[in-house]
Amino acid sequence: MPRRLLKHSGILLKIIFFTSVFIIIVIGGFAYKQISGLTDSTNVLITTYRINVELEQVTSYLKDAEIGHRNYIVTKDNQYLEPYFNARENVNNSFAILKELTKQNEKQKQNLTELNQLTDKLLTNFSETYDFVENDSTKSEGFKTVFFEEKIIMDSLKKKVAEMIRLEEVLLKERQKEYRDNVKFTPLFFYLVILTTIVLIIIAYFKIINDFTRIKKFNEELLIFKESTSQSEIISKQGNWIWHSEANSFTYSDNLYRLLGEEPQSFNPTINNFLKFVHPEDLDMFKEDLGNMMKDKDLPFINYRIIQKNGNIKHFKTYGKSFYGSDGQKKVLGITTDVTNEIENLITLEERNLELERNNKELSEFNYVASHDLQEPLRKIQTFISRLEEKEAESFSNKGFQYLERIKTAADRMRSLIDDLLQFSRTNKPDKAFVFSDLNELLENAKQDVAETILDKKATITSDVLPSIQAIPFQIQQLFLNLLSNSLKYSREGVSPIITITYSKVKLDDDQRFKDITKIYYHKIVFTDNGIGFEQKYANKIFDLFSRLHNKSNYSGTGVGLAICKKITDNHNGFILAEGKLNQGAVFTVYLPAN
Amino acid sequence: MEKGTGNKNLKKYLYLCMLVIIMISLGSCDFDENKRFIYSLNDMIESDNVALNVKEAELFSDVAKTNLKILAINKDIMETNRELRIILLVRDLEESHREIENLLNKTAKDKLILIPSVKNNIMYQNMIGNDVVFKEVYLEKVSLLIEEEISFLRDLETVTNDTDLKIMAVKIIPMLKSNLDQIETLK
Repeated sequence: MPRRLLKHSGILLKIIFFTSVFIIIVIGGFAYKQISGLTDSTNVLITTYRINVELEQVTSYLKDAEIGHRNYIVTKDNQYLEPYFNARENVNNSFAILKELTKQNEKQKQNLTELNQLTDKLLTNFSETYDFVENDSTKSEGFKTVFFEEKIIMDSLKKKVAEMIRLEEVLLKERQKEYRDNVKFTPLFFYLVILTTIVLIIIAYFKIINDFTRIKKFNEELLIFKESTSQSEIISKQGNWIWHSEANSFTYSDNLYRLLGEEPQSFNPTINNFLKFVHPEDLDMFKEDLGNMMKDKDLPFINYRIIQKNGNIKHFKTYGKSFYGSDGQKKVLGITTDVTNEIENLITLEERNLELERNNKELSEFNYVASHDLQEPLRKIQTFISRLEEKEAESFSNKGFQYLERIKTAADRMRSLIDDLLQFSRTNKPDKAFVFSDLNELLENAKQDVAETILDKKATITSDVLPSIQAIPFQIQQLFLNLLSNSLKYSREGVSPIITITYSKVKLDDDQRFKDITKIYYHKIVFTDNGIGFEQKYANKIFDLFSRLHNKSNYSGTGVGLAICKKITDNHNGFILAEGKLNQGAVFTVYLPAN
Repeated sequence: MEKGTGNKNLKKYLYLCMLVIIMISLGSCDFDENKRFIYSLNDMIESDNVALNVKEAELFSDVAKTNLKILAINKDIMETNRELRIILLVRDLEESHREIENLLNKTAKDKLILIPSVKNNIMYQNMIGNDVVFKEVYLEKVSLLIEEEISFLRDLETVTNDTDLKIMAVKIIPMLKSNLDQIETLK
């Protein structure tokens, strides 16, 4: 967002800048033109003035020559001819200037030629009168004619000079008029252009101030973000780096140096310097990954070890992703994490898991072997109790007979206990093969196992059609058997047991009771009975091993049955829940994952 | 297309526009020849061009005056000397210098320079002194004047930028040299 705003702002400022430059150039050009016009006008004025002055000079020189010439005629004194002798040179000098001043004006050039001819004629005329004076023929008709011609030439000359001056004045007026027309709108134009420029400058000023404030704010945020990132890196043991692909150079964050066990920016962030830290055994793999990154401009997660200066070995995990910088160049931003603790914890966990697995296996084997081996002496005890009853019963006193009965009961109970333990240990064995099983069949088998009890207690069992699922068949059959046995055993006195088995497929992801479920859909099988039930507070306790809610004299049992149920549902990644109401019945709900 | 390429192109277009604007602005300024002449007019009045014009007029005038002096001396020597060889030389010289005067007059008219000529000469009359009646003195004086005229013409040829004046000098100098050689044979 800030970058986009600044980008737009930059374009606006560029437009203002270029427009202002354009306007200033236009003003400059226009001012140049106007000032040039003014200079032209001044120069035209000066030119006219200089031409007029030079023409007046020419007239003056010739008048001097004429006066000198007349004085000479009267006095015959050669010294009066001085102005006449100097006139030619002086007039030449004036003509040298006039030629330059009028060389762009054809009309004036023509006039100047005519003036030159008249001057030459006048000077020639002077020399003709000279001969008459020298010969004392000043009274002759010839002299009078020549003298009169002198007057005519002089008048023509003055007229020509006047004509040239007039022409210059006309030209001056024309040029002045042209200039005035040009400069007529200049003040207004200048005013408008300067006004526009000022407005643009004001807009640019406020825009710059606005952007500056915004940039300041962004910089502060950036500073906070940078500090926060720096702290985060330290806490999370992370460091970042950037690879500038075009320049093939690296930038490391301070914490990357710390992760390497070095002071921030203590060495040049080059790839060769980093390779010095990589564990020799991981070096080849690391170089290969780095080569791939430079080729593909991406780096997937890689794990390697580094050796710090103090000899500590650290486990690093690095990941890199390419992006385009504001300069348009492709770069790779990488994150390197020190995962030494995680790796060490994982190794410890794996070791403990292995140990636990080994212990479980040993315990299971011990349980199985112990239960199995205990059967043999128990069988002998029961056999000898039977022989005692058959052959030595008459010799027992009442007291001895009672003792024998107690031994017999204890032996039976011990057998049940051993059978249940054996059963429980079987459910723990690792050789569990899941096969596609029909639950109706397994339920039927379980019912057959308790058929005698069902008949004895006149129990009624109804069930829905159950699905076929991937399961361990003997365990599911054991589960059903234990639940049915439980309902039959804890039936109410004088009440025929009614056991209802219902089935539905349910979605558990929105059920708050199941937070750690791995699947969404489950098979829900509910066993409901009308037995003695139990208080709800014992709903979890009844699944503990050897847990019993009743005295063994009232209800026989070992407290292993429901623990086995719990174990079986666990083996199938399912759940079993119990609900009970005292003297009303119990509900056991089994959830097995669908698919 | 890469992200940065668009920005680079935009910058190029902006700079190109700016360059075009500057070119148009500068092009719009009026630099025609006539006005440039006016801008530098004041300087020009005091400048080399005017000085050159003056110098040309002076040298031209000097050539004309020298030529006029030679013609005046010739006129005088014709009236005083009866030696045949001298008379023949003077006639040749007069013919040659009249031709030179015509050339000078024609050029002077074109270049608006006023020069003294035979028709308006009141400066160089009775140029001959008593000593000039002697052939040697006359020949020496005329030689000097011709050499002086050649010198003025050479100066004019060097100083001027005007082609007509240069051509005129180139035409006259050999004539004068020839005259000089002719005089040398009589010495």
